[in-house]
Amino acid sequence: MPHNVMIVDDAAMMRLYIASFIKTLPDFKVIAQAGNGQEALDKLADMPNVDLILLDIEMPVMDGLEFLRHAKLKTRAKIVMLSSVAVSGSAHAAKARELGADGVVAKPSGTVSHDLEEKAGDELARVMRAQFATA
Amino acid sequence: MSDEMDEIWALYLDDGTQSLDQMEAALLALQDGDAATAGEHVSALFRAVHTFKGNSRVLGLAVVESRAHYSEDLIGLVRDDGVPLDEEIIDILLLASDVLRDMLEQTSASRSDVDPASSEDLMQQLKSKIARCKGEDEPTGEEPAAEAPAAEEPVAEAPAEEAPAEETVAEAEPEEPAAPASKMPDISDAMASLGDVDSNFGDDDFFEDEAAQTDDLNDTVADVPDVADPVVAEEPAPEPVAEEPAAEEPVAAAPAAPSTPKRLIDDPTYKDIFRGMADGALTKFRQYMGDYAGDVSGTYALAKRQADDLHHAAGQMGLNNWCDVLKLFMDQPEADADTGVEQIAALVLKIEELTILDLSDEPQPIAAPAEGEETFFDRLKDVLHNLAKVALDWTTGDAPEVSSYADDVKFVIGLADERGLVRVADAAKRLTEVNSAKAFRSAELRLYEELAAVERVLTEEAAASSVSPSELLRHWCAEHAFDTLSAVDHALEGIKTGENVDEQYSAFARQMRLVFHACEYHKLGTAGQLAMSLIDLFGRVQTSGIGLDGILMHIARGFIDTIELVFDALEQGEIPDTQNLAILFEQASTAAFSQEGVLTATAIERRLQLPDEFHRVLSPDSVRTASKAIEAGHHFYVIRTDINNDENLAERFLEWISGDNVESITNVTVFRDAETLFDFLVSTPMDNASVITALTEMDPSGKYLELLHTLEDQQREDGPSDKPASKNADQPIGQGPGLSSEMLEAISEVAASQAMVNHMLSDLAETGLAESIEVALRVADQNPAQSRDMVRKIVGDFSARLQETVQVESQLVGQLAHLQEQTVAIRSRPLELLIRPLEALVETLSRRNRGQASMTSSGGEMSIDVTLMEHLRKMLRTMLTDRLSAGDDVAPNAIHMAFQRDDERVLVTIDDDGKSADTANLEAELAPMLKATSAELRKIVLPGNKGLRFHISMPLSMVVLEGMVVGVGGIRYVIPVDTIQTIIQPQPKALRPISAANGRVMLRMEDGSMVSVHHLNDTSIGALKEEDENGQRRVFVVLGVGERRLAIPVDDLLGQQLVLLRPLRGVLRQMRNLNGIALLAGGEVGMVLSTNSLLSDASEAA
Repeated sequence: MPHNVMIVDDAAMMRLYIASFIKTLPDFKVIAQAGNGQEALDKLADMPNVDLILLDIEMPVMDGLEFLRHAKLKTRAKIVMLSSVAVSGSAHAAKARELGADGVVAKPSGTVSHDLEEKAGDELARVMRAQFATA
Repeated sequence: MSDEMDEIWALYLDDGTQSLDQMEAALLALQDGDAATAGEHVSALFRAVHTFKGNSRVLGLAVVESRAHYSEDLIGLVRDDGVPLDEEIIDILLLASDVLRDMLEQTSASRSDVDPASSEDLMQQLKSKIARCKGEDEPTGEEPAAEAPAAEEPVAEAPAEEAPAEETVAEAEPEEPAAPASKMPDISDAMASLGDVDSNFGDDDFFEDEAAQTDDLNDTVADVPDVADPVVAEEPAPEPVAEEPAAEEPVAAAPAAPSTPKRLIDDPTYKDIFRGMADGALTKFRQYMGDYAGDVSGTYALAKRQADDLHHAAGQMGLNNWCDVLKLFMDQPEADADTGVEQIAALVLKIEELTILDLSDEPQPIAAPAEGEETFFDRLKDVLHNLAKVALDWTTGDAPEVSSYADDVKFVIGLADERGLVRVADAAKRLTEVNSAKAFRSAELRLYEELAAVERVLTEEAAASSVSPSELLRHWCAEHAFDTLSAVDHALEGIKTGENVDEQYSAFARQMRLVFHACEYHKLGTAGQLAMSLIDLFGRVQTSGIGLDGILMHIARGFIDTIELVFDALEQGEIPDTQNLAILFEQASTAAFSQEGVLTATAIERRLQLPDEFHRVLSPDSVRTASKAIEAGHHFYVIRTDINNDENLAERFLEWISGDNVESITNVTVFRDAETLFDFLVSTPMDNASVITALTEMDPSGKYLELLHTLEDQQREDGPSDKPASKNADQPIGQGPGLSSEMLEAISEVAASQAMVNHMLSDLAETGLAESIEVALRVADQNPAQSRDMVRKIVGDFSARLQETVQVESQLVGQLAHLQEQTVAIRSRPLELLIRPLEALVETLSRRNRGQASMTSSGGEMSIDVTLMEHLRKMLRTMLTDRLSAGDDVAPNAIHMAFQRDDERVLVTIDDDGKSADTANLEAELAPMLKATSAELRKIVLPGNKGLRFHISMPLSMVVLEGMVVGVGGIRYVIPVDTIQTIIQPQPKALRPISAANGRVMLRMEDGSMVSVHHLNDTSIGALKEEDENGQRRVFVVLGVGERRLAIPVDDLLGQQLVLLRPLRGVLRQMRNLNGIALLAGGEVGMVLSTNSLLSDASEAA
């Protein structure tokens, strides 16, 4: 059974991009997407089967950090924060970990001329899998 | 993948446009200078640019990304570092907005990065402003490019760019555009760059220092437990670091080595979130109590899940007492309705108490006793005993001095303070502030309640104690049950009169809670459950703002009366009769639906004639929604969906049913072979065609969304002709409005009149007329005149009474006639009721087969008997289904259905433009229906095979007709009114024998035309002629259909009536010129004439 994934990002393009990538991973399946933290919480209330949440930080309505506080109580899903830069050492990343993010990873990038499946998101896939390897 | 990339690029343009629009809007708003909203606009500005930057980065548009990133940095200085927003910043960012918009258009078109040269000016302005804001030297633009790409990177002529001199925002600086789109970095490069900062980040300040860099990298790796992945091996190898503490462990900033882990409950933010969850869970649990009886398994599962979610949250919060309570609930097996509600009610009580203890803003530290110490409750035992005695003194009128028990109170307060139990201390203190028995009882109760709440939390300590405050509380409640019931009654009265209604509701809830405890004391499970249900029901009424209805008041009063008797019996040591409680509980369950003026679930099922799968699935919310829709006159539809495998369709459909125009009432799961489908019950003002159109728009294939049923409220009060017809061809024609109140009244009047006639006739029968006359005659010898007068009077009186009886009987006949007309009318239905569902069926079947067939009709305004209509419906539905499922090359696109009726048969002609096909199966299917109704079917292939025509001819086995009742030779005949052309009393000598017509008599009409005369009995031509010549003017009823006419001489015209025609059976069917018989008002039997037959006879004779 693939792990069920929810993508939370205010950029529709980013959601599609990540969802497209996850389609190439047989052990994961995107079952929900949300444009901000509040929308994600609303959806989670009806979707207890989400195993992994890929979370952006900068979002309107409810940002990723506030979402993490709620998520700590309201979901048992693993949460990986998606950083829009190639490092995870930012203050936001540290804060995310403090608030319970299970991992921080850079969003895949630079794939304009490459096949998503082959080139993008190896790191993301690795971080995603790692959540369940230790579970 | 290329499709997905197309979509990604399209979204890049779309998202980018939106982001830049937001950027511009925020800048313009900031330019306007509204200080109050400046913070919001800066945040929005930051998010917009951040999103734009992120999207550009993902697509490898390094030049675009770098411009966006510098812009973001500048905004970050304003947002995070207190740099004042001046005009220059706004101007630069407006320029950036324009430049980025140009870049967005270019990159979207070319799908490659832009030349950095054209945006060099913007970059210089951004860098310069950032440097000045930070108090650094402005970049000269001549400095060597610090971020020169790594040597091994095949870099094109990308101009070197400089990153900001210092980290300004929480994120890393942009990667420099290594090259235009000729080669974009991929994710592997990006990841690899983590270990080789210089190769990607020329700015030395990218990290604060090397140590920080290492830490960051280590952090990154620490997030990701090592797994056997070749990618890891290829990465720069960071030093292994220790595992991070679990998420719920204290964070790095926590005090060093605390003796116990910091609990989230101590963090106000988490406490607020958890409080919201607990409140939400309580609301849900209360709702489940109402729903439980309707769906035991479903509600049980929901309650378990709710408890499990709260249990998880409580665990995260470090609230072990909550976990214990919730786990206890979750470990219980699925219970029946009664026990299940009881379990949930108990859980609600416990959560309410825990909420007060743990989540109120008042600190509630409760320190556990040291091991071996006497428990908190045991230490209170003697004191509580003393205080109970004081209460008794108060009750018996020996008002004790406060000083006599002040020490006991002081002891309780001291003990409570010692354990941080502020509320217990407060409650104890109140005992010394009273001046009446009532006030003392109230304070005593409060103390027990507080202690019971503590007991529920200190479960282990309570278990080890020899005294239980909860038991004391229950005992107290049982002891004061009658006072409590009196208070409940008082509150009910207050609610009824509407004075301080909120206070009365609160008082009701509080007192009922005490009743609940009393019931628990006596182990009256159902009664306690009913008490909790009533609290819930009254709470809902209060929240809704709608006044309390009579039913709920009746239940509450019934409960008080019954439970009072029960308590009384228990006090007397007798076995109480609790049967009534079960009945009241059932009523309370129903009241859950009707308390807000909505219908019950059963009523909704009946009125909408819901399909079986929706039986007992309507929740209170569903019932409320359906009730409102019925009130609004909306239509109801059942839509079958197969959307499991199509997320997009599912999303579109769910959006549709959550839209403004459609209300989703409930849905059920349907298993068909291996498939799982869902049937949604929805309401909407949209008509059938609009719904079908909407479904088709979502699912052009018609395979996954199907309009299964169209339902209408069967009790709409409109008259039959105005009543919207059911469009569900599968659904039987409704049986009409049934007995109206007027009819019931009429029946009552008939019964009363009948009773009166009976009474009067009995009186007359008992009069002894003969004896009275005999007595009168006895005096005739002595006084004949007196005797005569006596007889005259006796006969006169008798005659008067007889006349009175006749009058009453006439009245009765009139009432019966009226009633009969009403009865007949309710069986009569316009054919429109049949046609509309068939039209919908044609559309649905056709769409299902990817066709667009439609149906037209004529004759829908005619009315026929409901039973006949039902027979026709089945036949026509079968025929249409067969034709429309015949395949693309055969199925028709247009169907016309024409209905005609004479006084004997209903004729239906169905024309379609489909091809001829083998209809043997259809005919075989129709055969039993035809046989059962004595109907006939004919099929005709239209010339040139341009379509098929079916004729159905169905005898009017029982038809309602408007008839003229006439008398001929003492027999009543009924002539269908719609065949009567005129009724005349011709001038003398209007009858003429026509020798050419076999001696028949013709009637000359006023216009000079001649009409054949037909006799219904043995009246001879000669007799008629004689009457005519003698100037006797007989009445003639002239019948006509088309050109054919006939005059019938009648003795009496008895009036027009709506009659129910009954067919002649057996040998009677052979009687000429008769269609059947009808029971006339007044009880006579009328012979119903067949106009067709009469006219045919007349034509043949002519």
